[in-house]
Amino acid sequence: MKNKCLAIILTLVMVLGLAACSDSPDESSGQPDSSGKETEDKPAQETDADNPLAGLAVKEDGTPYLMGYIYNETGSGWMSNNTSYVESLWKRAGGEFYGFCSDYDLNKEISAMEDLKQMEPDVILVHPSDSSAIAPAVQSVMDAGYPVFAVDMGVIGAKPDSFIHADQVEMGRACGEYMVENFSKENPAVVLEIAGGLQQDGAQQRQKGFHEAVEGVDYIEIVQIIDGNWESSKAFDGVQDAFERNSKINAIYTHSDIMMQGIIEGLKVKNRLVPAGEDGHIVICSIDGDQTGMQGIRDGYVDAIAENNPVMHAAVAVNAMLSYLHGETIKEDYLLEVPVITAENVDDSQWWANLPEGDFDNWPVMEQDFCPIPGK
Amino acid sequence: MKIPLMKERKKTKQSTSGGVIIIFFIILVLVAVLTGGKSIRWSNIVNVLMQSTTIGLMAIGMTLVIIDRGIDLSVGGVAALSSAIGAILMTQHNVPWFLCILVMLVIGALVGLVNGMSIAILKMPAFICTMATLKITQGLAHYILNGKTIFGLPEIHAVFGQKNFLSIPVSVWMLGVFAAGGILLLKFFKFGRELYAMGGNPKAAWLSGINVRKNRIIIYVISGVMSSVAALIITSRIMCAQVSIGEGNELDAIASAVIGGVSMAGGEGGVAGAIIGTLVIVMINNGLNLMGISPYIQTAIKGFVIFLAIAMDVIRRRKELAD
Repeated sequence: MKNKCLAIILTLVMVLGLAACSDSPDESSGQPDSSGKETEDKPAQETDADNPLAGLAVKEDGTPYLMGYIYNETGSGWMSNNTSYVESLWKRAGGEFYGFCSDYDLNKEISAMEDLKQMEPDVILVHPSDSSAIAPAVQSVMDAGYPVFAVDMGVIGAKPDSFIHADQVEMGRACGEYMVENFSKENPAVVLEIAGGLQQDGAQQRQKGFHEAVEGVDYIEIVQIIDGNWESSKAFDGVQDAFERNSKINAIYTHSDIMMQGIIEGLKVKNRLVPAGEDGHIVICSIDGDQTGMQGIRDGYVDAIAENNPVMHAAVAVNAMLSYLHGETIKEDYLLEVPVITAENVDDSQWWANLPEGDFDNWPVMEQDFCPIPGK
Repeated sequence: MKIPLMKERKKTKQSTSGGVIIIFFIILVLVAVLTGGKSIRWSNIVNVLMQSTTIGLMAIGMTLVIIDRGIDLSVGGVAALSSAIGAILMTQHNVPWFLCILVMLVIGALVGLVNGMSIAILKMPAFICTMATLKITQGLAHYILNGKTIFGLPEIHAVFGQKNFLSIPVSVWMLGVFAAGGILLLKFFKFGRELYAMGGNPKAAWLSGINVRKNRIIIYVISGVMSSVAALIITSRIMCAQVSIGEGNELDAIASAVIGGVSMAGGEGGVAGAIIGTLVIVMINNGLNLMGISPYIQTAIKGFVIFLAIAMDVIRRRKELAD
């Protein structure tokens, strides 16, 4: 009896803990959970005159179109913004949304595909962990007659109805080109590369682009590559180790802003954090353009960021799926631009990191030329 | 079968620490030679010590748990949750800094309390119970942070991870103090002796009047608090909170303890060995980076060296027992 009471008390502690967390400031974001259950069911804003999507995800019989989104993680600002904005736009169009997170587990990803098939969705959006390994599962749902759209990460070995992406190789190349332009024979670059998880496609492509851009340039030498595994704490340790090995490092290329805080604090501990324009400044180039990276530019520590815009990806993907459902012609491939953010343009309003944080339902429907809203 | 006498068992415990010291020096010399002496420069020694602090702190708690034949897989999750809540309180709710630190420590203690009570009183298997709390804490951290990096922590927070006291990082002092506390607790306090007895033979310990439940709850609370202290240092070093904090740290903490001579069968090992085990793991990482080894092969090399270190120690201990 005593043990039963204790079990109840412990369960209550857990439940209360969970309840306390529901006060999270991000509650309004309606972040989908990893179990695949539908999250907070906000009423679609179909009656809003300012909502150009109103009614577009509703069938003729008045039932909503069901979209399932399978994505590989929830741990980054990029994915959080992308999934939340996709969900918000789809619901604003009157549709029904289900989110599945695989946590980089391919088995879970394939199971999610199978689960979705049972729910008979009208359209599937996927951001896979591994472009090749997911192909048989994608082919299987496509063979069953369900349209599949891929976003950011493609599918190698199966052909989704459409692929919405910015070129990851191009992002790395943009950083490489920035270094080629800003260093010279008189001022050669000694580069430390802080990679993402090198077992993942995204990191490999970002590495490839950078290496291609600096290959054959005799005044740029990559002296060390450290796998930061998309973690600030690993990037921090990596910076310490790299500067122990080679104190002449004067440039850092990192695969993502998600590791930026670790790099900046690591340089601070090494007494090597100097703003641009002063002697001893270490040039930092990065990818993504999240708030950490943007703050780094504003503080003068970060020089250039190749933007990978999750909000744009979401807007184009939603329009492409709606266009498909309305029988309009869609492209097989929507290739987004890779703009470079520097101190000159860091405060421009078009960057995703400058949108009001977390307020997804009040963000405007993004205007873009890649794929217009169907019928408009 | 000959049952080892207390004297013999004590000798085995002491010689286990000796074994890891030999491994430590082999790796130290090997890395020093292969890096052309870079690894034994003072600045790098400080660097290695600093990198050892977070895993070292978790390994202290883990050592106590493993001596009692348990396991605590939730350490990484506790670090993530403590960091997330602490950072949000500091940056978004203007809660006084010292209060945020207290909250972070209390979170560790609470999760440890839940683990301890579930294992000691409800007899839940430690592996499953702490795996569940790992998922719960990591999941809550994910939910709270919603993928964002929370930065802009108050400057005073840098004191744990970025400041020095007498030319040695504050975090290293902290590890030293907690390690000394752990060593003293195990060697000179009744609690420590009871813990070895519980690990050696829980039933006999209970029959001899040791309050097994209470002690077991205490060690899980200590483990939770150690993880929160590690979270303090991590957030102080990178001055932000991210969901990736603590990810995979449980395995490094277990490996540190085992390399350091803590027996998974319980009743054997100590905090000093676990700290040296942590240094071995960090030295391997640091050495591979100093040598400029490709990150594509680093993980495999690290695993191989850890495997070799444990195999050497096991063989040596078996020889000692046979003698």
